[in-house]
Formats: sequence, C-alpha cells, structure tokens
Amino acid sequence: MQYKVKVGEETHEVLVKKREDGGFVMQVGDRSYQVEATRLPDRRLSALVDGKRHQFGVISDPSEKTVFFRGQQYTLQDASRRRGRGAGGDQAHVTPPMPGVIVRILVKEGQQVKKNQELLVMSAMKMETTLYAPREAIVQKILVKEGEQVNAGQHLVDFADAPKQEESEGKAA
Amino acid sequence: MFRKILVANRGEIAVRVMRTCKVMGIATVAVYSAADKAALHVLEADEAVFIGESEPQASYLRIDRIIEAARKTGAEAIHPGYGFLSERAPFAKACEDAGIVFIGPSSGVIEQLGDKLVARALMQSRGVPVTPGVLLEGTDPEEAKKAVAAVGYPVLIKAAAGGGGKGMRIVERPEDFDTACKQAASEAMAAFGDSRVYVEKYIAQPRHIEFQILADKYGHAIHLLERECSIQRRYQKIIEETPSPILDQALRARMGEAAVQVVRATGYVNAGTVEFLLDGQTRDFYFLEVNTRLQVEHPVTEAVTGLDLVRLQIEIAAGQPLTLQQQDIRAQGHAFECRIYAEDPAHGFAPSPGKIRQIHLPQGPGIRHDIGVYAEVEVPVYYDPILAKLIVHGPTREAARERMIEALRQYAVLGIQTPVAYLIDVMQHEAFGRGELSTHFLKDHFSNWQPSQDHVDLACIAYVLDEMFPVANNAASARSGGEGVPPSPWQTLGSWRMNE
Repeated sequence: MQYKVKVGEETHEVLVKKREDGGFVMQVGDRSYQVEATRLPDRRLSALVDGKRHQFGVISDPSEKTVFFRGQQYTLQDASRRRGRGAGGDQAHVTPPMPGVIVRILVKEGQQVKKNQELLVMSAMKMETTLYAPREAIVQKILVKEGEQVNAGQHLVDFADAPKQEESEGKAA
Repeated sequence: MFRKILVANRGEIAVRVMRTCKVMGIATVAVYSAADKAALHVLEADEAVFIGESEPQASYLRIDRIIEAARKTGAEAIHPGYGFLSERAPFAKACEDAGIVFIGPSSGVIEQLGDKLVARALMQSRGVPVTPGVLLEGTDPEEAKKAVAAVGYPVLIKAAAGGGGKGMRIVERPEDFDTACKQAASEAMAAFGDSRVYVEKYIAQPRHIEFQILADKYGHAIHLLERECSIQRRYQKIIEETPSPILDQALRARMGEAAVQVVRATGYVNAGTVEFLLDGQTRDFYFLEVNTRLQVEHPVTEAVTGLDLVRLQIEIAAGQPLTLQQQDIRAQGHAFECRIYAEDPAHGFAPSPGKIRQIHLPQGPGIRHDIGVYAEVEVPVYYDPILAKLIVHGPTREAARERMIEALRQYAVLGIQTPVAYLIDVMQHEAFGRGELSTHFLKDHFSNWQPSQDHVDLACIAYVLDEMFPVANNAASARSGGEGVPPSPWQTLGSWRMNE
C-alpha cells in the first residue's frame, strides 16, 4: 500500500509491505524501515522501528493528523487528497484558533485583502492575538461584532475569490 | 489542627494544596467559577462552592463570596495558593475579621511588604544590601535626571506599587530617560492606580536567586535554602532549580541570613520568599522583594529538603511551633522545575486554550507532577495559562538535567500547544548545562527559536500506523488520561456508559 504524506511543504511517499510475521516493511522516500506496532490502551501507538522502541501520540482530525514524538510535534496531511493549492489556498472563511473576545475589526465587507493582511484582533487569556487573511480574497461577510465572545472554529469572516487570482505560491499543479 | 480548609484558588496549585490536606486528614473545600465546573480542583475537593462567573473579578477575586463560602461550609482556614488574592492585604484582613485563619502572614505584614519601597527601606535598615536607586514621585524633571545620573546608567525603571514586569523599562542613555519614565508612570498608573516609579541601577548579568523562609508565631525563623530562577521570559520564570550553580556555602549562608532578616524586621509568620538579584560577575547580591505566599517553584525546595511546604504552612497557621532548626536543613541532590503553560512558543508564546485531547506523562525515579488538568477538559481563556509543573530530582545537577530532558521528551499534551519542545532545547543548551545563567539567557540564546523536526520519517510511519491501527473503542478512549493522571468521575462515567 502507498501513502502520500505532506509535512510542511514537503511530500513524503510511504510504501508499506506486510511481512509474514505481522510486521511491516515501510519505505519512506529511499529509506526502508522494519516496523512492528501496537495500539496502547491509552491511545498511543507503540512501535518497534528497526529494533528501537518508540511511542507516538497521535490526534486525528478530518484534514490532518498531529504526531507527538520525543517532545516534537508534526502536522501531517494526506497529500493524495489535496487539490493542488497551498495551505489556505481555497479557504472560504477565518476561524479563531481559540475562544476569546473580538477586540477590533480591521477590514470592511467588500474589501479586497492580501494574503497575511491583518483582519481582526481578538483577546484571549489576557493577551491580544491577530488573525490574518489566509489568502488573497474579498471580504464577503463579517459575521461578528467588536466586543463579541467567539468560540474556536466559529466562522468570523467569509471570503469570496478575488477577481484576479494572482496567487503564485503553493501551486503544485 | 483545622478540620476543614477552603482553598481559594484553582488549577494545579489548588489540587496540590488539597493533596496535603488529605494526607493530614483535613477536609477540603474548593471554590469555582462558571468556567471551572468540571475543573480538576473541584473534583479533588470534598466540597465545592460556586462563586461566580468566569471572569476572575466575578469569582476568584471576590473576597466577599469566598469568605461566605468558608462560613457556609464551616472551613476554619483559607489557603490562598498563589496569584489571585494571595498577596492582597484586604483579603487577609477580611479573613481575620471573619475569624477565619488566613494561611499566610498577617494583613499588616502583607501590606507592608507589598509596597516595594517600604520593603526596601526595611531591609536596608537591617543591613541587607539593596541596589542603588531612587524613587520618583512628581519630582522636577531636572532633579530627577540628576538623581538618576547619581544611580548610574544603565538604569531600570519600575512601578513602585507592583510587580509582574508592568511599567518596567531599561534605559541605557540619559537622553532616553524622559520618554521611558513617562511611559512607565502611565503604565504603573493604569495597572496599580499609582504612578510612582522607582529607578534603580541595572545589572548586566543578573541572576535571580530567592530564599524560601519559614517563621512560626513564636519568632523562630529559618530558611530552606535558595532557588535559582534566572531562566525568565519577559520577567516570567519558566525553569527553576536548586541549589543555584553559582552559590558557594559562604555566599549561601550570607544570603540566607539576609533573607531571615525579613522576619526580624516585620514579625513575619508563615512561608515566604525573599528575592535577590545576584550580579553574575561580582557575586554582589541585592534585595529585590518579598513574596508573602507560596511560590510556583516551591516543589524544587521540597524535592531537595524532603519537606512538605504546604504542611508546614498549615501547621504554622494552626499555631504549632516550627521544630526544624537551621542546621537540620540540608539539600539532598539537585532539582529542576519546568512550567507547562498552554502557550505556543513557535508563535510568540501566544496563549493556547482549548480542549486537551490526551495527556501522556513521563514516569520514573525522581519525577513529580503537579497538574491541574486532565484529558478531555477544556482549558479556559480567563486565567493564567499554567497547566502543570514537571519537577525532577537527581543526585547531581547533571543527573537531574538528563532526567528532565528525557522526562520532557516523554511529556505530551495533545490538543493544545505547550512549550515542551522549547524547554527541551533550553535544558540542552551548552551554557545552561554549564550553569551559566542570567535573566537575559532566553533573550540572548533563544530569541528566534523555532521548533526543530528531527524525526520526519518516524512521524510519517506514525501517520501510516495511525491509519492501520484505529483507536479501538470508546471504552479505551474514556480511560485515556494517560498513566499518572488521576482518573476523574468524567472518565469513570465513560466506562459506566460502556457497561450499560
């Protein structure tokens, strides 16, 4: 079986072959690993990779998985499911990463924004955090007011495509 | 001894205080806000009283409601923890007036030492060195400039009324003084309602060394050695240790004796911490301030002395004499503490509240966890983002450091961001290993830190394995707090559902 996994900007191919004893041979890029694994009752994965024992914490979301290993954290996506645009390339809205209160709104409906332009300032845990445009787009609708309490994942701003798509970054096609 | 104690706090410190109460056979009362209905400190207490909405001003800072909760539940004493009301004299006063024992010094002493200038003058009168400095209150600007020049540039401007880095500014050159002073005064006014600023000599390689003190009601006082807390990010300590790598026996004895002067000068009773600035080059030390409460980093002292500081606080508050003598206090080995905050070190340490999906904690010799959360709990946005503390003890500094690094590598909080990767890199830094610390350490070595990814292949393998070995069922996930996390009723509830 073959997987295409995207870590940051790089795509890694993982080729998986079952061994007769229940283990696997996994080829990541041009390196080959002998792997045996089991799921622990606490949800971690325990794996023997080339004779070394490792434990991985993994959280799985619809669009990505986050792997925790030896204090480091990796965000991985299924590259075969991606549609040729970079991160945020087709995002239609902005959501806060955490619950908080909207302090300032810096854009207007109908305004054209550039990628990474400041959109909103929110306050959470006694600190202000700025939310940026994920791509060049038009602000179609602002769904919150200043002073409003918002939750993580709530849509704050809806986007429409900018008239001329000049996005040069992240095109894999 | 008290039969029941109310803990006027939340999170890991509230849980930690309750653990000691349990050992002592004392019943515990928690107070909680709307955001904390399912918080660990509520689940840990024998009783819990709702005290208001989520904002601290509406709950954990409401002196009236906390006193009322103590009255209603029949708690004879209140432990304030740290933060919130712990250093507010009016709270201690309200307890005194209500006939409830405040586990800490008297309101008068808190008030006295809360004013940095008063504290400084007191210590100075006892022969304890203080940094050369001058108080500015509405002084003529030219006079002020002259006075500051006498202190000697560079200088540090800080609010006379409070701490936490508010209003603090370093001024290198006389021409920058006016602007910095005005800004500091207005920040001080906004934060503390008091625009007075204090200007003191700025030390280039300062090390933060503090001494734990203990004093009973009968005038007997000792210190429990030092803690070095030089690893700070914007005046926020993140790694603490004891013993300090820079102190020798003679300097330790001198500083410890200076610390105990606080008790002699004020009639201090209970646990407290006397903070000093130590010049890393000259080894001169200067009194900074007194914290009239338990410190976040108290567990490193507990690790090397074998004592339970909360127990000693409770015994002293109950009127028992302190039987320990200074010569009884000896450090066994070395201890580090790392603070685990809900924050994202890769993005300017922005707060990272949200739902904790899994927690996996390291186990092993010399490892202690003080934790205020559990898997599946929501970390609220309203409070200080400290989730937990990891304390590691070893026979030597190097052994403790190695243990800490490995413990951090095993430490995983999934669902929110924590500074674990950052802490590993700091602990592994060569200068840190050599004990070459200063409060500028992080600024000097870690300003542009980004997380490294050394195991991409293994992460890819984990990705594939996660697809191939799905999480079995809800029963497993309901118990998935990870070893070491106390099972909560919420987790148990999950299993009951499955067994229906």
